[in-house]
Amino acid sequence: MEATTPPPAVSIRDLWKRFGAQTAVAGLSLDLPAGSFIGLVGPNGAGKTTTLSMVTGLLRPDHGTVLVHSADVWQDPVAVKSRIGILPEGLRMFERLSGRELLQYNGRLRGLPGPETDRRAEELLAVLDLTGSADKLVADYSTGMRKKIGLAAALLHNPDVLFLDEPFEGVDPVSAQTIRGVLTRYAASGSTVVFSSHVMELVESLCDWVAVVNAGQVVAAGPIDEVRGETSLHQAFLGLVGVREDDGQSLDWLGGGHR
Amino acid sequence: MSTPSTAATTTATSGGAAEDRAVVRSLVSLKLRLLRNGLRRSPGRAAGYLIGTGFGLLFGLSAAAGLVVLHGKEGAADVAAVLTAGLTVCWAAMPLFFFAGDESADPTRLTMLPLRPRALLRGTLLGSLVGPGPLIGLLMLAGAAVAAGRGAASAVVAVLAVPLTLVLLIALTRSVAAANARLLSSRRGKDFAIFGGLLFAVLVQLGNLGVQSSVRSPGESLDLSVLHPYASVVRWIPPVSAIDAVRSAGEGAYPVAALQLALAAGLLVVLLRWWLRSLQDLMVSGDSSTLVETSSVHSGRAARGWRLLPSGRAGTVAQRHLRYAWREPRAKAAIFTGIGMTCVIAALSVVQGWGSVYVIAMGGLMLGLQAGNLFGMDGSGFWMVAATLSTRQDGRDELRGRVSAILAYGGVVLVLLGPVVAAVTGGWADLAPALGLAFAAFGTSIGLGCVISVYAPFALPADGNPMRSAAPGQNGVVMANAFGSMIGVLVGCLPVGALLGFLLVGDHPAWPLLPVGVLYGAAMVLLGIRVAAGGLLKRLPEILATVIER
Repeated sequence: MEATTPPPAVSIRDLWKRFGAQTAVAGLSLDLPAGSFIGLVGPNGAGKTTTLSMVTGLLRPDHGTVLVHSADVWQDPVAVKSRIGILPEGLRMFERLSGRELLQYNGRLRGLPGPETDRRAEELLAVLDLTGSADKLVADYSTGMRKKIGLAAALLHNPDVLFLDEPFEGVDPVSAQTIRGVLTRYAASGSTVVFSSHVMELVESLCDWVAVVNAGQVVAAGPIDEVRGETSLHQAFLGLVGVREDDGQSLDWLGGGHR
Repeated sequence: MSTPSTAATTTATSGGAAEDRAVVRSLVSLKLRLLRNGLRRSPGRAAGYLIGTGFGLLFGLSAAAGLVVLHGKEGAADVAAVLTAGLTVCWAAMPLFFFAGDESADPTRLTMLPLRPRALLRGTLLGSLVGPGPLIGLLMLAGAAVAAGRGAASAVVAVLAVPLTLVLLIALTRSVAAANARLLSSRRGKDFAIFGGLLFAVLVQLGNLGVQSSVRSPGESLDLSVLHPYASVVRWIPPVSAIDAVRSAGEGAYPVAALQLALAAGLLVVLLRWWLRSLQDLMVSGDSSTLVETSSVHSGRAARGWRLLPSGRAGTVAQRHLRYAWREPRAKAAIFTGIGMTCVIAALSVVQGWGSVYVIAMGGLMLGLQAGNLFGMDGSGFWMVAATLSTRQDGRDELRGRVSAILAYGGVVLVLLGPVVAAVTGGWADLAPALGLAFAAFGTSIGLGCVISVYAPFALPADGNPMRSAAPGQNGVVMANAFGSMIGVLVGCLPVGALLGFLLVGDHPAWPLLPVGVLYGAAMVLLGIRVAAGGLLKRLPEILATVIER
């Protein structure tokens, strides 16, 4: 198996980003294997979103290179942008469009023929259970619906690599199950999914490969069984990022007895 | 830290007057803390607040001084009555436009706490008395009372009437806010607030125009008799009646004064009851997100019209931009401000006696300025553009699409506005060259706007405050953007202006300026797109980082 390692889907070398005095990403290097379901985990503020933004060409790094299927994100945007799909966290979409209009707009921007865009949009809307709300403005969507329409927009042009930033954040279990179903199907076809999360159980159940990020650097990366070893991913993660257990001395007034 | 939650817990456990007082105290200090923390967020915001407050106080002081000067003059009481009426309308309308900006005005934020409605009402009322707004109101009301009053009896009534009116105004604005809180905190309500705020500003301008045209009598001293018919009506309507009671008392009509004061007091009771009812309703009803029905957009019938647009990126972008011009209230408000300003200036020019059809060139400039911050309106949604734009040609198509949308509605508006301005100013003869100049200015400001959009974009505020066109901390960029484009357009239009001057001075027919202006404008648009397209591709991440709403 080791003999014929395919070229990585994404190759990150010595990536840096500073915001003022704060260093968000500090020399991060990582190779993400093609055809894997990859989890990017780390505590809040670890630099996951910043890294994903730089990898997808939305944020210019201070230093470092990113290759997606051997094409440089900053030198060869034509090759990269057509092959990746993005679902960012914390960025809005064009929310004064209806869900259907948003997909039609996205597909046409990506140069898909009109009828083909419409056909794919209808199928995605149906699979993601959005047909009933397709004509409502995205501004009026719930969090789960927003994530789903964002996922649909990211999948519309059938990318090779899909980058999802916290796709399950604030999503109800029903929508989460729908999103999982679509992602699993997409990954099974040999495409690469990279998603960030801080819900370890989710990463454990979905991913076959995981990278742990802390303070802007990779502290562990590899197939999920190697990273977690004998323990659960949750335990392994807490060990890797160095979390101190609270001894419970404070908050002694909390619960039971006197108010 | 004295937050309402500590007060709330105590109220929940025992209740009673002392706890009510604690709630009231907490709410007042909450208001102060919100004010202080808001200012602490950025020095620019604090400076803006201080300057705004300074101007407000200056305005209030000068208005009060003007009223004091009027004391004893013929018609002074009429001015006081009309002014109080205006103040009342402003205060009643305020929450509809500034709701999103003032957290302490939003009772829905407090409804989760176990507060008694009466304590909440008292606390909010007292909290509302804190701040520059009520102070400015107090100054103006005091001035109005001085203008209307005559003698000792007036003074006695004024001591009662001025605080009563101030409390009435605050109760009015708060009860309107509470009654509409669900609507105002919904998206639809915020949309309305943005658009309504500008509509209100235009109405104020029109009112100003009306006053200017009627009060100003040429050569003579101020003639206030025109206000008399209005004043004779509004003086019976509370809260104006309270201020007019000062006049009545001065004239010796004590029963009338008592009746007028009683009217105002009656309204106060009614308002407080209404407010209390609204608060009680808010505490037991659900959140707006589940109550306000969201409607669908109808694209079925319009679909055929959209097919006229070219396929490909430019057509797609133009379609989205046109949809946004109608659906995004900030975009819609900006367009209507441009149209409204042109109309107001045209009317003003007639009133002031220099009416000219060339005012339409202003309209061209104002409409063209819609291109001045093309990507700022996208906000963080710009990532969708950035993620799909990978060649220079894409950049050109993106700009072409957006510009053709602005050209489409702006061109129509200019062609329609031209005859209107000509009719108002009576300058039919010069309509053709004026339109030529307008199209030249329109095209030049669009072309320049494309370049500025790429090289000096700025973010819009995350909250929907209609009176702030930019997020805090970037006033420099906004000023550079606005003034740069103004001056740039003036310079850019010089050739067309010079040609116009030549034609007019030499007594040549001026109509050729129409085709020349249109062609010149078109050339400037194309040039602007060309220059901006390359920069757009290179600066995508920088633009995205800049335009994310703050």
